[in-house]
Amino acid sequence: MKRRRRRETWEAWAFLLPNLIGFLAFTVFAVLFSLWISVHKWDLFSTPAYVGLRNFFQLIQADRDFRRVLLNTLYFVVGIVPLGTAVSLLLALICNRTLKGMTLFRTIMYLPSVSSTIAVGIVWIWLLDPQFGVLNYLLRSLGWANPPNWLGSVTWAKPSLILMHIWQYAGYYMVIFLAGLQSIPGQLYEAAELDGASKWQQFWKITLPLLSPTMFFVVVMKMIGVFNIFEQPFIMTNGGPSGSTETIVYYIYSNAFQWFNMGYASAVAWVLFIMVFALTLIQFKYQGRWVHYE
Amino acid sequence: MKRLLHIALALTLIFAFTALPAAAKTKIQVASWWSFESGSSLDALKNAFEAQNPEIEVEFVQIPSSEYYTKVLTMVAGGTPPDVAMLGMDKLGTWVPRGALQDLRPYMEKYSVNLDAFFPAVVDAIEIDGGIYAFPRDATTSVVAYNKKLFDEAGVPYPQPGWTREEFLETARALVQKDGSQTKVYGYAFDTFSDGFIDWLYLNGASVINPDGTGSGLHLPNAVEVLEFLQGMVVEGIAPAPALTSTFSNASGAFLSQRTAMYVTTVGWANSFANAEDLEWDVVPLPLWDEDSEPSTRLWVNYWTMPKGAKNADAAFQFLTFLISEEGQRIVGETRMGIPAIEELAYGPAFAGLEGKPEHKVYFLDVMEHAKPFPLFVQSDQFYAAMTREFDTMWSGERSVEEAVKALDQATKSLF
Repeated sequence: MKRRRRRETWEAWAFLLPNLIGFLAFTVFAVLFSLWISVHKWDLFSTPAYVGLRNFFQLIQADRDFRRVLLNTLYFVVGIVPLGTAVSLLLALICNRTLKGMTLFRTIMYLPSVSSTIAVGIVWIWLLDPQFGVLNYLLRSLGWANPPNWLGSVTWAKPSLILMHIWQYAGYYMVIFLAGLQSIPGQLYEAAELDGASKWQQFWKITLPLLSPTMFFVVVMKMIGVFNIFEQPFIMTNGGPSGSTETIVYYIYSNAFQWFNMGYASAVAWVLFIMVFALTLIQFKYQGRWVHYE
Repeated sequence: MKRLLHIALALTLIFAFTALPAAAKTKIQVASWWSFESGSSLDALKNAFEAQNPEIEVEFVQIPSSEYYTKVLTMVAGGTPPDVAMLGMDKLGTWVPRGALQDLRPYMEKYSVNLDAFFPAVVDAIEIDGGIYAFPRDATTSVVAYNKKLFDEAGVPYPQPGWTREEFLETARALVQKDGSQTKVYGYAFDTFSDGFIDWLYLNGASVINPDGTGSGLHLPNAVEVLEFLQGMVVEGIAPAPALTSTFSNASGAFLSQRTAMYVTTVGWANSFANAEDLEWDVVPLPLWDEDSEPSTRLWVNYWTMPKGAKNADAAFQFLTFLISEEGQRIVGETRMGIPAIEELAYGPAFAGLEGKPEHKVYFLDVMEHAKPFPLFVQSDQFYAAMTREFDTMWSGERSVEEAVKALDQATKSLF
């Protein structure tokens, strides 16, 4: 019996090993290495030089660029998280009805989230092109003689990326909301209807409270996702114009792989991690005020 | 049985080790962003080199240009570099101080290789701190490309060598064609990245960094004058705003689609214009800034280099030597992507004598004596990122030149 159990343990380890080695080498080691390198100055070639917490002080106290990319990122978080959540919820409510063609509609809504951001980004560059883009063509035919140069203007570049991001991930979070909606027991609505509650009241008193755990999940995931926003500005604006769409992760990328300031890039990455971690903890701490688990 | 097995194993090993050296060639890896399918110039280089050096085999590694530098630099840092790597000029300034490239001087002495046949300006452009860290693939100067058809339509005479900036501006102004409020044809188009306007800086004796190399040079009076001149053309509608230029992917695209009548071109772009059959065009040297100014142009060199840690350094150097030989330079010259670095060859069949447009290709060579190398400095990548950021709104006139150059100087002080 003992022998058999030992064999099973070995087998379990053998099956786990490939994954475990990958996890240790490419995640645990990489994370610890980045922590070590964040207190060094290193350009990939020279021997890393220990600088203590200088990278962290520099970026918090003196780095105007970091302040700019932080504000840009917060702009995206504030712009995308509430609006994106609302759009996904609205779509889920629409898709939750049994109407003809709904499966097709759901598929269409879900498609962008499984498409490559690079491909989608290039399509949006064309849509938003100031001269030949579909959007400005429509706006001109509606009588707006000089519609904005969306991605080329400091004022409009961020809202354009927000629009694109919301569109891209609306379907993904819609599916999560849909799962949440379908787990709400139907008899609650029947009872409410018997008591004379209007559709509006049903939404506020039943749907929304019972959907709050799903909503919490969506908000947390979306916030973490948007703090890490990178591909959209990288593909569509190169962080411009005037650095107005440069985000924290973009800044990490530039520091690490364009300017080879590996230590500094790691320090920025750890500051980002601490911020996101703290905000997520706060959300968990205060979820009791609005999230209702049955 | 066991003994038999041992004997068999020993024999196999002996056979394997004695057979190896006879069959093995030294293989060198050559990284570039060019494609190397059969019929390409890289393929021609490989065949010609291997015919002369049967003991060496060339293996090309093609890396897309968008990720080329990051990838090669990471390979070098990781200790698995290619033996030879193609490199754009700007990277020499950042790679040499990092120790990513080998000084070729010791090999040049060992194998008695000299650069006497090269354009002197090209030799200047490959020397850094007393070392030679690169051999030239090819070079290019800049000249003004102009669209003859658009000149004819506007009734403007073709520009002639020795013209001035004032004449350039008048010409560009006269070439603008409007359709209501929309501009159909611009007089001139330029790119706003580093090498899109550096020729103009050189014409007025300015540069992107100051003469001591200790900070930005763009806030100095001569540079400000140039930037205001270029900004003025955008504000007046002679040149498209940068955002509009990006609609054509860049300013050369505007020339290619006949939306601008003039463009400051390199040999590489000229090659893409030459392939457009319906484009009637020619080139002329850059205008003088003022009547009494010296002529100037920017020299850009593409390189072949040997990264640090190259496994087969001697074989790699053999290949590098072949690349700068007459045969190697002729093959690369025929790609029409640049001027062969060997002066005699450039004035002969490998460049000036090539068939096809533009008619006055020789101007690319004639201006070589006034050519100044593109500035190389270790902070360049970060400096240009800051420049793009601070200048974005300046070009279209939303921000004054004075304000933008001051902001750039402030933002880049800590880099130097």
